[in-house]
Amino acid sequence: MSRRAWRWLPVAGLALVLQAGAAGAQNATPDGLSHPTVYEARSLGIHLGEFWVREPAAGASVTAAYFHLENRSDATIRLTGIDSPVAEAVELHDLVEDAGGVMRMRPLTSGLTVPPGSAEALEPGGRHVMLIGLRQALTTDTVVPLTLRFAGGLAVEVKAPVHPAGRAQPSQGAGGEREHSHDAPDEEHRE
Amino acid sequence: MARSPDAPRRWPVRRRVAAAGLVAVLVVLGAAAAMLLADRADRTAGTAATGTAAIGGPFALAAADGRTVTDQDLLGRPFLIFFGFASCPDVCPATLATVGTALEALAAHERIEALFVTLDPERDTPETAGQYAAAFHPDITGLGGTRAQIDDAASAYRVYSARVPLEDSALGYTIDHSAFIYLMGADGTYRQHFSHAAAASEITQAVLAELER
Repeated sequence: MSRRAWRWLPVAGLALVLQAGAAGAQNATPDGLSHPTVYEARSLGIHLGEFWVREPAAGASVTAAYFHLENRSDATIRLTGIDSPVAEAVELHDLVEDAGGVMRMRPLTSGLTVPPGSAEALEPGGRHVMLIGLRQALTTDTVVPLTLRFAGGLAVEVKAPVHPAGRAQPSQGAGGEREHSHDAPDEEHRE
Repeated sequence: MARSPDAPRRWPVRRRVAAAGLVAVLVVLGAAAAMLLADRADRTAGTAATGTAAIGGPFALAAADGRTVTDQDLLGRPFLIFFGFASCPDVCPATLATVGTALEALAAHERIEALFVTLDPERDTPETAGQYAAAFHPDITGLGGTRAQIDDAASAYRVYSARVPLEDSALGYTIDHSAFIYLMGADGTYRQHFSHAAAASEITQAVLAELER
């Protein structure tokens, strides 16, 4: 077993502990697995916050979701995919603007890798989660469930509030991403 | 410099020829530079005074209600124009929302028009474009048309647009495109452009200045 793989052991172990610990608990999900909340993920050094979804234009079949991910663990983490019941497909996309002002959007097929001590901010005008083929109308202040799947089997359940299209960033920080069955404290604001 | 014995007689002649040649070259270069500078000055003055820069021009596109909208229909009113596509999840909605906010602030000024032109005729019909644009502000007119009509309009506005297949995406393809908002004068000529990340107030101020011209 490579040294790299061994570094995953604590994360995988904690994921198992969390899943076992939460088995049968209120946050058990229809797929039969239990998923840690954003609050519980912090014990793994995975700090998630600033979740929000852009309110799609009436009739539009796509929209984007955003969040911040900070890796305070001592192992590299990799977000491999995201699921949501509100869309046919959910993809991680990169968006790059070249010197001539041309915007190019491309899927991040290898997911999002965040080394220890690093953070990734998915924000308007850059990397984002694209919700493709919306199955329901999403209006301001409704909440979109997202499951963030990480390499090693960890899956974190979050809830992202929908904000108006014009809003570059939600005025209040994270808060909509908490699991409703847990009385988690507010996500701390980052400097 | 090796000189032959008769050099004293021949070199001055050569030098004169060389000097004359040099002068001729300098004159030509100088004239070229002067023409270039004059041309640039003309363009600069043109942009400032009459808006004769190369952005903008004739177009004919289809509105959701079936009518054809051309550049001629817009004469007499300044207008904002933005190119994008409805399956764009980030830049297009953010930019249209900014235009919508700017229009909201300009509500008392009905002489401004705002147009959204889809670059994706494959997915966006004129109806789709119209419904999409109106979602951000009822006064934003969404336009579509045939591939040729859209290409002509994009070309007139120097908009870069390319359909790019995405094998690893449920989208199938995306449209790479430049995402500037253009402010055109009442005479249909270019005034200025804004970044997709511009503040609505920046656009509002520019439109107000244009309306006061």
